[in-house]
Amino acid sequence: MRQSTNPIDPSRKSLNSTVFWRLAEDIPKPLQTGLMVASIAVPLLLWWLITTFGTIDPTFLPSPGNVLTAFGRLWSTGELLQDTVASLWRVGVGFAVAVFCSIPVGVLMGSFSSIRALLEPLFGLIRYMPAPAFIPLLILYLGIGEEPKVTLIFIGVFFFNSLMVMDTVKFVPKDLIEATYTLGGNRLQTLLQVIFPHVLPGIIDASRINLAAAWQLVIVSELIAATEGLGRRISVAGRFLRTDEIFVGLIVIGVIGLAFDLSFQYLLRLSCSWASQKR
Amino acid sequence: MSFFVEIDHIDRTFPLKDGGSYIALKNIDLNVKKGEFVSLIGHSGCGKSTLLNILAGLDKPTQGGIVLDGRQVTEPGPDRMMVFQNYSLLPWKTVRENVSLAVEKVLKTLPKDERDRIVEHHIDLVGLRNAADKKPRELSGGMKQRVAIARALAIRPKLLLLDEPFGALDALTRGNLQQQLMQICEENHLTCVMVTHDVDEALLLSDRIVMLTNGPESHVGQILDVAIPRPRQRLEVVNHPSYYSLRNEIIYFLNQQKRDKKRKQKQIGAIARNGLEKVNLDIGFVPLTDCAPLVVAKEKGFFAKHGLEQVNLSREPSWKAVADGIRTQRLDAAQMLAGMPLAMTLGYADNPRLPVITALVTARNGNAITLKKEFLDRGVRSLSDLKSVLKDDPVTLATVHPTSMHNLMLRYWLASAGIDPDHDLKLTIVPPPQMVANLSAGNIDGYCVGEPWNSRAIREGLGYAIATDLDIWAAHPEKVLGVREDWTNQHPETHNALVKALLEACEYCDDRRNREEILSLMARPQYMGASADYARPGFIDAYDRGTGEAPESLLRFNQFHVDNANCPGRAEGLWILTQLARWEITAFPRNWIEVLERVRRVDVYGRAARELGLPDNEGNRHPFQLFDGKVFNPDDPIGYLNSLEIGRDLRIEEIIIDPVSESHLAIAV
Repeated sequence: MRQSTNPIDPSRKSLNSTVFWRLAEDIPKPLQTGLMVASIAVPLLLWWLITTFGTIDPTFLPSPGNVLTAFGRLWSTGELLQDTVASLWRVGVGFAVAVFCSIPVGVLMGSFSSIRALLEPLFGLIRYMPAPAFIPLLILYLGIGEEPKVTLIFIGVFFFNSLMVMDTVKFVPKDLIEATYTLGGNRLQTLLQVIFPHVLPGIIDASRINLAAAWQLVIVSELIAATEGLGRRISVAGRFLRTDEIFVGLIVIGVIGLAFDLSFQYLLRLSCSWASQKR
Repeated sequence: MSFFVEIDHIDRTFPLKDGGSYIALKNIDLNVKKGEFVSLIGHSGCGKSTLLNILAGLDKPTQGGIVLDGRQVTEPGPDRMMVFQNYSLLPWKTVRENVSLAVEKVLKTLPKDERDRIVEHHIDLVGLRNAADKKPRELSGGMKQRVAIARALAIRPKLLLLDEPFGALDALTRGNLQQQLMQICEENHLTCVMVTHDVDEALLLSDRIVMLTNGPESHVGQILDVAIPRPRQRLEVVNHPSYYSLRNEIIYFLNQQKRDKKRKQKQIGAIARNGLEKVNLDIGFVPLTDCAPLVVAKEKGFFAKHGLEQVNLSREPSWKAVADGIRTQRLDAAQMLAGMPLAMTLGYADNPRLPVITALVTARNGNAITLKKEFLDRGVRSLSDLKSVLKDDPVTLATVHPTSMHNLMLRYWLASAGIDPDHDLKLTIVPPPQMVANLSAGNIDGYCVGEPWNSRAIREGLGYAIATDLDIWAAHPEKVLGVREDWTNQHPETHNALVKALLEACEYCDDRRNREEILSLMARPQYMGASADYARPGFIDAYDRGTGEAPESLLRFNQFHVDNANCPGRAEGLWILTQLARWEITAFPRNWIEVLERVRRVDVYGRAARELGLPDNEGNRHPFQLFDGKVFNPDDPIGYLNSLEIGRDLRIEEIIIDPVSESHLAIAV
C-alpha cells in the first residue's frame, strides 16, 4: 500500500507544531513540573559549582554548606526564631489592620460614586508617596518602638488595597444589581448579598498582592531601628561581614513570603470555587 | 375598557454633556391587556430597552408614566420581573439557591414548605431537575437562561419583561426555549413585554408587535396584530397564510427605518446655532379667512418677536401659484393646503417629486360645500337629495386644488352616498377668489371652498351651504405651513422661529376676544381687502347656511389652536395619503411610515412647542372615523383603502424620495 504522495507539505502552510512555545495554552503536566523544579534547582546548582570549584572568598560568597551551617547555628541559639516571630508579628498586626480598614472603604468607594469622588484624589496622591519615605516622620511622631513599624506597614498597604478593592467592585455587572432590585432587594441587601460576595475573590487576590508589599516594608523598617527581626539580623550580619548569615536571612524571608502567597491562593480556591474559572 | 398595563405618553430625555438634551423616547402611548404578549421591535438605539427599563422601574420617564394593574410604577419591584440577555444569576449559588433566593425574598409570608414547593415546581417547569445543584458556570447558556426564567416566574410577577432573552443563544437552543416560554406563558396566562431583534421570534411569541421608529424621538411607528391562533407550534406557524405577509411587513418597516437613518446621517446642512440664518422671508398665502395666523403674526409682531424682522406676506392668486412659488424658491415658505406637502413630496400630476415638509397645522375646519340656489328650490337638502338630482342633470362642482382637503373631503362625502365623483358628476378646479363669479355665471353648480367664499355666495343669494366640514370631519387639518425640505435643512433656526411665531399667532387667533381686531387687520387691502366683510359668519358670528334656517353657532368653525390643533399628526397625514391614492392623485407609498416621518415633522413642531412652554405631543394614534362611521385604523391603511367601495385603481409603490441634491446644499452653505 502506498502512502498518498501529496506534494504539498501541510505543515508548511500552518504553524509549526510546538509544545514549548504554545501561545496562551497549557503545556503537559510533566513538562510543567520539570520546569518548575529546574527554576529552583539550576541556580542552586550553579551557586554550589561556583563556590566549590571557584576560588571565591567565602566572606564574599559563602557556599550552600556555609549557609546551612550558619542556619543551624542561628536556629540552635533561638535567635532566628525570635527574629522571625518579631517580623511576623509586625506584619501580622499592620497588615491585618490595613486590610480590615481597606475592604469596607474600598467596597464603599467602588459602590458609591459619591464616596469615590470624596476619597479617590487623596488616596491616589498618597499612593505615590513611597512608604519608606514616611520613616523619619514616624520616628519623630511615634518614637522607635513597635508603633512606627506597624504604622509604616499600614500606610504601605491601606491605600493600595483600598484602590484595588474599589476596582474589583466597579466590575460587578450592572444587570446583576438591577436583577436584585427587581427582586425587591434594597440597597443594603444588594451591597451585602450581591456586591460583596461577587468581589470577594477580587479582594482576596488584592490582599495577596499587597501582603508582598507589607513583607518588604517590615524588613525595611527593621533595617533602620530595631532590636530584633529578620531585617535587623541582616543589618547586623552585614556590619560584621557575616555573609552567610545575610544569606540565611534572605532565604528565610523569601520562603516565608512564598508560603504566605501559596496559602492565600489556597484560601481563594477554598472560599470562592465558583470564580476559579476566571483565575 | 381598562388595560392591565398602561404606558401613558412617555417621554425619556437624557441630558448631554454639552448642556443639550437627547430625546430618546417621545410620546410612547401603549396599552397591554392582561395575558397579552407584546413585542417591541426596532433598530438598535431606538430606545426599546430604555422603555423596558422604565416598565421595570429601573429608569424613570421624563414625562408620562406607567400604570400596572391600577398602580403607578415608580420603582423596581417584584410585580414586574425582568429576564436579562446575560442571565444575571448569582455565580456563587446553585440553580436551586438562585431560584429560592428570589422566592425567600418576595414570598416571605408563605410557610417554608410552601416556598420550597414553589422552588421545586419552577425548577421542574423549565426542566432543570438534573442540574438543580449545579452552579451557573457548569451550565450552558440555554440552561442559564432557563434558570433566569424560572427565577422570574417563581415570584409570580404580574408582568414578565424580557430583554432580548434569547439573543446570546445558538439557533437550536433558542428555538427550544421559545417553544418552552410560549407554553409556560399560555399555561399561566402571563402578561409579557419582550424586546427583540428577531422578527421570527416576535411573530412566534407575540399577540401584538409594536414597531418603534429610530431615535431620536423614537415613537410607535406601527402596531401589528398577529392573528395566528394559539397554541402555536414553532415549526407550524410559518405555514399560516398570514405569516409571511406579517413578516414582510416587519422587515419592510425595519428597512424603511434603516434608509431613514442613513439619510439623516448624511443630511447635515448649514449648522447655525446663534441667531437665525435668514430674517427676510417671503411667505405665500391665498386670501381666505384661515390666513388669519399669518396676518396676526405679521401685524401683531409675533414674527418680529422671534427675530424675523422682514417678513413679506405674498398674496397668491391660486394654490397652483403657491406650489410653483415653493418649487421655484420664489417663496421661502407658504401657507399650504393640508395635502400639498405630501402630494408634492410624492409627486402629483406631472410634477416631479420635491420633498416638502410641514411642521405646523395653522388652521382646522373653515370649509363648506355650497350649491347653487336653484337646488335649494328643488328641495336638495341632503346628500341623497343631491344623488337624485344627478340622475337627471349633469352637475359640475369645483374645488380649489387636487391636493386640497376640499377636494378629498368633497369626494369622500359624495362617495359615501354611492356617488362616484369622477363618473356621476364633473369635478373641476377653480381658484377660491373666482368661485363666486363662476357660480354666478353658471359655469359650475356648486363648490367646496374655505370662507369667505361660501358666505359671500350665500349673502348674495347665489347659493346655500348643504354641509360644512364639521358635518364631515370635525377638526380635520386644513392649512399647514409648508417649506421645502432643503430649505429647513439650511435654515433650521429660521424655521423654528417661524413655527414659534405662527404657533403663538394661532393661539392669539383662537381667543375669541381678539376676533374683531383680527378681522379688521385682515380687511386691509394687502390681505383680504373688502372680501373680509363676508368672513364674519363662523369666524365671529353664527353661521348662516342660507337655507332659511336660523344661523347656527359653530364655535369651532375656524379652529386655530385649541385641542392640540397645531400638531402635524401622522395619523391624519396617513388618511390624506389614502385619499390621494384613492382618487389616483398620487400613488400610495408602500413606505408610508417613512414618507410621513419625513413630511409631517412632529419633531420640529415639538421643539417649537417646548420652547414656548406648550404641550409638544402628538395626539394619540387611535383609529378614528369620519361622519359615516367607517373606522380608519392607522396601522392598516391598505385595508382601509380596499374597504372603500368607490375609488380608482389602487397603485401601491415604493416611493424613494431623492434626497435634496448635494450640489444645491453646497452652494447654500
